[in-house]
Amino acid sequence: MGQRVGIVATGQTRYRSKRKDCSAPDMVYEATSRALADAALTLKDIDAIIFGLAPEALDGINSMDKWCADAAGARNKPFMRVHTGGATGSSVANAAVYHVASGMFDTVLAVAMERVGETPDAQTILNRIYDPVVASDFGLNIINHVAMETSRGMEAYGFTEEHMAMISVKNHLNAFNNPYAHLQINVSVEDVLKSPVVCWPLKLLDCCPRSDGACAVVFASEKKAKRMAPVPVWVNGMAALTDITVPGEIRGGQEQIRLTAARAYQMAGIDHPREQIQVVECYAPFSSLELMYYETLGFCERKDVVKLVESGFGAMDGEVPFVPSGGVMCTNPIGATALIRIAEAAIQVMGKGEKRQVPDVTNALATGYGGSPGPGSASFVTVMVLGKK
Amino acid sequence: MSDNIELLSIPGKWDLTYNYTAGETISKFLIEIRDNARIMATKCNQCNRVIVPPRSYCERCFISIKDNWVELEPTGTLEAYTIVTYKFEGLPDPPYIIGYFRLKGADTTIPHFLTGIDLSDLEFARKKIKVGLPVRLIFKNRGQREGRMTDFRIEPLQHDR
Repeated sequence: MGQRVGIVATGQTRYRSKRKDCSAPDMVYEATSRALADAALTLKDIDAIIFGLAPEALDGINSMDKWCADAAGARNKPFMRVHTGGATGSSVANAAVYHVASGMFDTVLAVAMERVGETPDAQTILNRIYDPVVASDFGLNIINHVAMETSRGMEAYGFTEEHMAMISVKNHLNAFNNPYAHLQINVSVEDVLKSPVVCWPLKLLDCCPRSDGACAVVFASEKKAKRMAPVPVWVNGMAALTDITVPGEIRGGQEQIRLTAARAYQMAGIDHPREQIQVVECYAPFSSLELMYYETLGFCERKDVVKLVESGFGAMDGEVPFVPSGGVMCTNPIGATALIRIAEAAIQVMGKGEKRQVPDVTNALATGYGGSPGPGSASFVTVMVLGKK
Repeated sequence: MSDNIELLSIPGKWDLTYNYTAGETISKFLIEIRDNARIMATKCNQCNRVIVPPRSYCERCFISIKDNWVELEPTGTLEAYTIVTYKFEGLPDPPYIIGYFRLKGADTTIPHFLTGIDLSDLEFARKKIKVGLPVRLIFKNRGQREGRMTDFRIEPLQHDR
């Protein structure tokens, strides 16, 4: 890494299935102005802006970065859009870190948004991320792709639909502590198991909602960060990996996450994640994906995943809380979602989590996952390690 | 924000037409399906991976493999699956099974429907499907094949009816 980089501020909109009170730029402005206010900054403090937005058909407007640039504070400043599907938000953050680490910029705003509520079925659009000639005849989309990874995972890890339901219950409970969370509903294991099957083994309450919203994070050089924030959050490790693995090949998506985490841990000097990391904001839009992270992020061996789920390892009062925010399962404005993970991890290190604050956080982990293994589609995996020191 | 303001929206629709270009490698693959009812893959002689649907290059060794074709048997195994029970807008009517299938000798998998399984009782159907299930490809008759992945269906190798 070049120049050391810290997070000094975060800003989020309230997430809803439809933010009828806001135009798209209104949402970007809401998140951006809140991030500036978080560290008492003004636009004069920002040197460049990185903007994130996922597939445009979700919003139904082409190149909406142009519409939103002014709302992100880009007037007279360098501005670019980054897009890596579901990992858009964390790729935006990575690009902001690269900008600062290079020494060319001191303070960079990362802001990402999405309106998934504009169209009645996002999966119709996500069907069109695959190769149109050899793959699109079979109704592929993100939910049935994850369902396929899940049915494989159930055989490989030995978890059941009940274990998935336990993760869902935990995350819905956590969302009540997050004032920005989209879904704030009481859910029991029985509710999850009895909710309609979407793509077996995934049921409705194993799946994320479609959300409108935006998130912004301000990254700064070491010198500026120390001046701007009472508790700057240091980007101590980061890694990003791309692959074109197709389900059923030797290396599945889980292996990609393992590799990415190992690279980020090495950079951050993390060799025992379970002892060194106090909170995880993982990118898990579906319950089954979260429990597989317990292994791939190095918190346990594969054979112990089920035991950890049953013991409440990732609960707020568990050994290492996973997604105190309620996570992607309760809020998913696609292009912004992976940036929310980084914002929420930073909030934990800053100690600003209020009702969702985990005690004594010195290291927090945020992950992102975009694309989807399948013909014509790559996967993008990101892992960021944030620390107080 | 004023509390009582009426919040408006206007309808929109994207209705666009495309002709998706298959390219030389996929064209040959689809023409072999259409004209000869056989599955052809490309093989990388450096890492020995057999890739289907074929690619003109090996992304790992980063060399062209566009002229190195091998024929695959129309049998294989189910590697991942889901039973879709939800109606997605513009996608097929449920229920149906989507799977990724590894053809014998291939290192990659192809997506397709798994047919030949009675879906009137989903609980019962689920018990018959497992990763590793042997499957076979069944091609449509010559005149019905149009050079698409839907020129064949995939079903369990053994039928117990």
